[in-house]
Order: sequence, then C-alpha cells, then structure tokens
Amino acid sequence: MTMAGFPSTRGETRAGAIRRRRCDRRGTNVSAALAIALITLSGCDGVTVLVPAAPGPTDGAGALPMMYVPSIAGALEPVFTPNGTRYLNDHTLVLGPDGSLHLYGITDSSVGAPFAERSLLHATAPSLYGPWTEAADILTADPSLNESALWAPHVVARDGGYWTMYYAAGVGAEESPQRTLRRADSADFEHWARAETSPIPADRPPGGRDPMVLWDGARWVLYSVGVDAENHGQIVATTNADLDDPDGWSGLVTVLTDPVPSFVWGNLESPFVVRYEGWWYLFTTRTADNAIDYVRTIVFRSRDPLAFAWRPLTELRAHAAEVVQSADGAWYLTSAGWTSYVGEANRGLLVAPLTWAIVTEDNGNGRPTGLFVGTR
Amino acid sequence: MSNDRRLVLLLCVGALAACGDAKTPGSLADVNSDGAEVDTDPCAGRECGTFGGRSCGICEASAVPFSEYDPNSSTYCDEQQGVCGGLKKDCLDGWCVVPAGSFQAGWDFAATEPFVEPPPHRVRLTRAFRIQQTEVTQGQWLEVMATNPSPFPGCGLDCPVSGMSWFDAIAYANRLSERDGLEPCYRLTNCDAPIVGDVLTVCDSVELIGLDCPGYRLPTEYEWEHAARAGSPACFSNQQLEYPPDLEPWCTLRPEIDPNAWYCGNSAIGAIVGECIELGHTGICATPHPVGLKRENRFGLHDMYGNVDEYTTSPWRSPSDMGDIDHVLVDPLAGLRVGRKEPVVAKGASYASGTTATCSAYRSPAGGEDTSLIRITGMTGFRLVQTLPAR
Repeated sequence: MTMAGFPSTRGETRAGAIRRRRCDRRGTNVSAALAIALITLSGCDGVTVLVPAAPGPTDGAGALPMMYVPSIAGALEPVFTPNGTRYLNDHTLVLGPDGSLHLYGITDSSVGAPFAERSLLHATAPSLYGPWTEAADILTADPSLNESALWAPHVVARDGGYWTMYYAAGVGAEESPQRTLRRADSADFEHWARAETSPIPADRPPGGRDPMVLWDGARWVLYSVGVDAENHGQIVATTNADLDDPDGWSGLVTVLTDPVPSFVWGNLESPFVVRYEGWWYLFTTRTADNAIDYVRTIVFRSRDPLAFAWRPLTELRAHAAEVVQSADGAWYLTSAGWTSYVGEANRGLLVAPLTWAIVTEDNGNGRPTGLFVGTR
Repeated sequence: MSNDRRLVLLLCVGALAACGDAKTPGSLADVNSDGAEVDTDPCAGRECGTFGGRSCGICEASAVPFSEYDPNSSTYCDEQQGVCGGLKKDCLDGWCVVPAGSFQAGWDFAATEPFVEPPPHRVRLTRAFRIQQTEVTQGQWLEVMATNPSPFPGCGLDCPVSGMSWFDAIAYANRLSERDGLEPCYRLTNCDAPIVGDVLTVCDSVELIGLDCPGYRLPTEYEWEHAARAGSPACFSNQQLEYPPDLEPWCTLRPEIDPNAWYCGNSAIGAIVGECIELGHTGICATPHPVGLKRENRFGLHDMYGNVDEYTTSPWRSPSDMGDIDHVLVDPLAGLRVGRKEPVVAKGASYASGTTATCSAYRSPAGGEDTSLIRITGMTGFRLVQTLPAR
C-alpha cells in the first residue's frame, strides 16, 4: 500500500493524498493550503523519508557500521474481520481525501481456496485500528474478460482525484489459470472501471502476480512476482514515467531471486517496498506449503529499488505484509491470510506497530549482526 | 501350458535381456524338436513388465472416482515375475524390505496446476533395498552422534530427530556404516564444521559413491516414493484417499488423514508448551510426535506422511528436468554429487504441513547452505536405506 499521513487514530492529516499528487507526472495539483512541511520530507512511494539519502547510523566512534532493521514492536492485533466466513488475504490500503481509509483485498468464504477468489473485498474505516465497515465488493471476475479469479490489488493515488488499481487475475481454465496483471481506475473508491488493455511487460510470466507500484523519485516502478526457468522465485519490475503511457514501460528487470528453487508458481509473494533513511526496504512473503512458513516475511535492503541481493536482514511473522506510516510518524505492519493458516480469531486484517531497530552491521556483508543498539 | 513353454518362461525370468535378444523380431512362435509349433510369446502369462524386448503391459490401478478407489489395486509391477501387486510387509529389527520393480509416480494435481510434482509417470527401480520402518529418532541419533540437535527434546527419544542439516544427516549415515563395518556411501569435502552432531554442518560437496554401495544412505526421491506408495496411485498408500477437488485444504482435521499422518490438522495434540511452534497465526502450537503411532503402510512403514519432512539423497530438479516422463524412468537419481548451494529433495511433509502436502508425490526443496531455520522449526528429518544384494 502506498500511503503516508493516514490517520492511525482519529483526526489526523491528509498528507498522504497530497503527496501523491505531487508525484504524479501528469501534472502537479498541490493544494497550497495543505502543502504542509511534511510534504517536503515525503517520498512518492508513500512513506515519509525522514533523512533522505542518509548514510545510516553509526555507534558514534564510527568503528561499527550500523543499520536499521524493521522489527515488529507489539502484538499483531485483529482490527477487521470480514463478514460471514470470508477471509482477507493480499490486500492494499489507501487514504481517501476525506481522511478515511479504504482496504481492498482477496477474499473467499472457504478457509483458503485461491482459485475460488473471484471478487475483491472493500472496507472503510476512519483509522487503521478501526472501526472498519465492510462495503460491497468492488470487482468480480468477469468471464467475458476471461477472468476466473482476482488477486492481490494495489492502489495508487493519481493526480486529478482518482485512483489506479493494479491487480492480478487468473485467466483461462478455472483450475489452471494463467496469471496476468490488470488495471482499473476509480474516482470514488466504490466504482472501478477496468482499463481496456494492460500492455504491461509484467503482464505475463515471469511476472504476473502480486503487483505493487511506487514512485521512486524519477519514475513509477511496478513490481510483481514470478519464477525463472529453474523455479527460483523472483520479484521482477518494470518502470514507466507515466502510468498512462502504454508504450512507456521498460523491459522487465529481475529485482530479487531466491537462491533455492521452489514452487512452479513462485514462493516469493507480495512484494512491498518502502524507503527509509536513504535505503529501499523490500518486504516479501517467502511462503511454503506449511503453516509455519506461511507467515514468513523476509526483509531486504538496497540503495537501488530495482536490485536487491539475497541478504535477508530479518524475518517477520506476517503474511502478505504491507508497511504503512501514520501522520504522526508511527510505523505499522499489516498481515492477512487464509483462515486455515491464521485461525478464525485472526481472520481479516492484522496490524502491529513496526519499529526500526538500530543494530550493528556485520562488517562488509550487509547483514545485521543481531547486536541491538536501539530503536528509532 | 506345455512343459516347453514353461521352460521358456523360466529362462526369460532368469535372463531377460538374453531372452529378448535371442528372439526374432516379430516372431511369436518357434518349433520344438517334434516339429510342433510352440508359443514363445514373451508376454504370455505375464501381466506387466518388459520381456523379450516387448512391453507386456503396465499395472493400472482402478481409474474410478476418488471415493471408489480400490485400495487393493496396485500400480506396482514385479519386473522379474511380470506380475502386478503382491507387495507385502517384510520387516526385521526396524527395517523393511522394498522390492525392485516399477510403479506409478507423480501427481494428478500437476495436470491442472503446475506444482513441483510431475504428472503421473512410470518409474522402474532395479535394486531392492531395505528402509527404516520409522524416521530416525532422537534416541538413535544420540546413540551415534552423542548429541541431540532436535528443537523438541521434550518430545522424547522416540520422536524423530530434526534440527540437523542435510550434511549432518549424511554424516550420520556414514558414521552408522562405519560402526557396522560397512563402507560409507558418501564422500564429504571441505565441511565448514567438524561433524560432531551439535553444529550445523555445511560442506562444499557430497558425493554418493553409487547406489550399490554397501553402507547406509538416504533414499533417492523415487526410492522414497516407491516405499511410501507401496503400489498405490493415491496420496496415501494405506487408505483409499485421494484428494477430490472439493476437499478443503490446509489445516483442516480430516478423519481420512488423521490415522495416517501428523500434520497441521492434528499435530497440536499433545504438543509440549514451551517447545512447540505456532502454526501460522492460528495460536495453535504444534510439534512432531513419537514415531510409529500412525498407521503403517503395506510395507510396514510408519510416518511416511507428516511428522517430519525427510531428506533424500536426490539433488533438486524441477519437473521439466526430471527426464522424459513419457517413457519409463529407470533408476532416476538426478546426480551423485551435491554442492553446498544445491538443495535436495525432501519428501513426506511435516507436522506443520497442510493436507495437500501429506501425499506420496509431494516434494519440496531442502538442504543447501542456508541453515538459519533448521534449529528453529525442526521440520526435516530422515530415514536411511540400504541397497540389498541382487537376487
């Protein structure tokens, strides 16, 4: 989800929406009245950049390089439970102009059935911790478009008061669908119109699932997931200066490759990238066919949002995690997944505070030593 | 059947290749010393196998709806006798005999969704072997390696050992071979840590000296699958269970699975608080369980499904690299050497696995140099095999 300045509690700002307008290449429409200082400290990826391009902390003497490592700082709390037996899986959060939050996500009434996930759930709330109200589903798989399943929506705000959603669709045979990326647009969060075409390089293998879009300061980056020819899970990306330019997409680049091959459909899922202290942090679920690994989110960092080495910083117990920051600067991690693997008590959206722990860096290899120094 | 024909059959059983080579292509009859025509059809009286250069058929299990699958039907072919089925329990001192022969491997699910299991295909194993009746226990490991790496010590010495690297398991096999006066099956090169059992070992390479080595080794993935299936084309060899499309997957407690496997639907039962692992975000805490409590299969083997994943000796290959599965795969091994970065195949699923993983065909990557989670989740163990001398 790309959002900052959203209210984590009542009565906070609209800074996130404002910032996105500044980032849209189709024109700037920043309201001077609302152009508060936070904007100048914000990145277009939707997170606040507190100290752009900062080299990172040191221990004062400079002897030990230090690094920020995200860490869950409290319990994952259920904040939204869908109606009936429906679950929430891959999801996205977006801030509306009235300060309300909108949640969209994969859903089905079973305990977990990916090919039965045919509509995208929608819920709204005044703050991250609720109370959440479930609204009508926004999109349903359209057989006339060859859609059999809808997955993994991600929404970005656009200049001009509308929002663009990228989502994955299963197309073709119901039990063996191909994955593809599609787009829809909305001006009111309730009615979404599919784009006529989605000529995106990631609209086919090795991409084609779990899209995530951010503005990296110079261009839009569209991430998705897939596998290489040897079944190594991958996160891939394509870039475009203008989301509405169908010819503007770059070729697909590989952002991250799992060194261990796995499922044919790829074991890296739900990429989410944020910028913090001059580094890009990539959160991705490294899933497996067991209940323990289902909630493994691995975190990487890089100076380049398009290239991450396989040097995990940490693991967080979350599935399809998204990172959000409230207007007061607090960070949160979300999680959601199949009821069978999260339990009835945690069906829906889970939220936990996220801190950036300062730890010493193992000399030269970019990994934390685990020596905890503090938090920020 | 005439005496002459019976003789031909016996000769063919004893020397299959010679039988085939001696036969004129296309000829199905010879003349005996009395001038009478004798039927020399190499497939006569045989249900399956390859004799005289001819395929005499394969053993097909009943292709009926899942719920009507006949547990007595078998895809196993005794390639020497040319008969289907006939598998039996032959166990002694914790080891069970698994005969050579051919069987159907693979998974029907692969036909609809491209999993890492290939679709159904035939495999022929030319060596009989014996395999441990249960997963190697903590007690057995302790006896040989003098330490217990399991993250579940409270589970007890009868619980499967886990928390060791694949290289550690290889070292265990070698050490057991040496203890029993057998030539070790593996050569280990440049190991990071001394193999003492309490340090996770990673080596530059491990070489299997061959499937005919006299010592103990890990099974190939197909030896494991043959042992697990015991001729069954279904997920379980000991129950008429196949997964119908409408079966709710994951951690649902299924009465069909519960008697056969410790998986995430039942592995919280009796789990010891303090050393169990939460299943997802369910709040349910689970562990492995003592071996041998679940139903045995036709070979007498326990816990082939669930409890702990089991390392094999086979380097990981994706289905597209596993050979031409349109033809019978003979002794597929996928290589004798495994490097430090190479994953191997694990079979059998674990206490944390969902329902659809508790299946004979299921395979997952394991091993390699990333040992970061091994001691935490303890999901992978192993059992040993030993090739039996040719009859």
